[in-house]
Amino acid sequence: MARQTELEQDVNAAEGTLPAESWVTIVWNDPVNLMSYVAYVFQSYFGYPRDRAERLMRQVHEGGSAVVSTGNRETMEVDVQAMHSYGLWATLTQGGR
Amino acid sequence: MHGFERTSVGYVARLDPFERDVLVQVVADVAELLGDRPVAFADREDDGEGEGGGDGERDGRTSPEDGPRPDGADAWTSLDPHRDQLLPPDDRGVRRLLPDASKDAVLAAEFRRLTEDELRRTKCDRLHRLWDTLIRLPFEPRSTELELLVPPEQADDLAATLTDIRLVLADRLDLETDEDVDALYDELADADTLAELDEELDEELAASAEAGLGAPAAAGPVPGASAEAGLGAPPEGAGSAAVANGDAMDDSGETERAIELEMRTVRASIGTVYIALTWMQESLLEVMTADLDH
Repeated sequence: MARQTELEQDVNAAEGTLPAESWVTIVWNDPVNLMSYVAYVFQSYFGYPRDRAERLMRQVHEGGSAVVSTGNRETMEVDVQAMHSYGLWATLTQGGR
Repeated sequence: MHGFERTSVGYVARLDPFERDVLVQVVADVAELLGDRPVAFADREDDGEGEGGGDGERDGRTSPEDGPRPDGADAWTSLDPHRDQLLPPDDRGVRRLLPDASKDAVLAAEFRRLTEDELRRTKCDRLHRLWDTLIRLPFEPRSTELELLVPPEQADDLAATLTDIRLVLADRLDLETDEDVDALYDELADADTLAELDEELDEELAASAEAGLGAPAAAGPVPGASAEAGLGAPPEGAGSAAVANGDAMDDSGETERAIELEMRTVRASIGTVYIALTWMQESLLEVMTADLDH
C-alpha cells in the first residue's frame, strides 16, 4: 500500500470466532492503493467507524491481508464485487480461510 | 496541477491543458484495454473527416478495428450470459482490474462468469464519464488553467477510476512491492530526468542516422509524458491495441543504445503520470475523508 501515516498499530479485532459455515471477505495488500483510500472505502462502504476502518487498513498494509466482513455467501459475493469495483483486491472464502 | 480543494460547489482541482491531454489519453488507453470503444473515443480519431456521428450512435463502426479485445475476450459475446466459462484476462494490468474473487479456482471461475461483465462495464462507464468531463473542462476565470469540478456525490467514482488507472500504470512500471514504488520516486526525483532522457535519445538517434544506419522514421522528440507512453499490451501480447506504440520507429535504424534510451524514456513518462495521479488522488482523498467525518 502506498504512503505511510502515523498510526499506532492495533491488535486484531475479534476474529477467530466464526461459525464454520460462515463466509468471509478478505482484502489483500498491494503497493498501489493509498492507505487513505483503503480506509475511506472501509469506512464508507461498510459503514465502519473511522478507527475500525483504519485498523483494518493497517492490518492489510502490514499483515498482507485482513478479513473485512463476514456473513453468508451471497453477502460476501456482493462485498467482494464492491471491493473489486473500488480497485481493491478481495477474495471470499468459507469458514475463516 | 493543483490538487483538489473543497469549495461550496464541490471538489475542485486545476490542471493545465497539457496535463489534461495526458490524462485524457491515459483514460482512453485504459478504457480500450478493458475492451471499450466509446463513441467519443472513436469520434475523436475521426475528427475532421466529416463523418458526423455524434448522437450516441456507433455509426456502424464495427470492423476492422473492433477486432478481438487485447485481453482475448470479445466485447459482444461477453454479453452472452449462457456461455460456459470466461477465462481470466491475459493482460496482467486488466487482470488486476478484474481479479480472481477466490483462491479456489472453481469458485473464482464461477464468480467471474457471473460478474465480470458487470464489473468491466462499471469501470468502462466510469472511465468514459471522466473522459467526457475532461474534454469539456472550462478554463478557470482569468487563468490559463482548466478547472475540474467534482460534485461530492461523484467523488467515489473518480477515486475508483484513478485507482484503476494507477493499477494499470503500476503494472506497466512493474511496481509489485512498496520498495518498487519508492525506487520509482527516487528514479524520477530529479525533475529533469525525462527531459534529459529525451535529449540523449535525440542525440543518439541523430548520430545513428548520420552514421548511415538508416533514418529512424520520424522519430521526433518524445513530448514528455504523452501519448507515447501508450499502455497497450507489450508486443508479444497478441492483438495489442493501437495505443501500444505511438511512434513507429524503424527498428533497423536504431542502435541498442537508442532502444534502451527509448525504453527508459517511456518508463519515465509513464512513471511521471503515475506519480502525478497518485498525488491527485491523495488530494482528493483528503477532502473526501474530511467530509466523511462530518
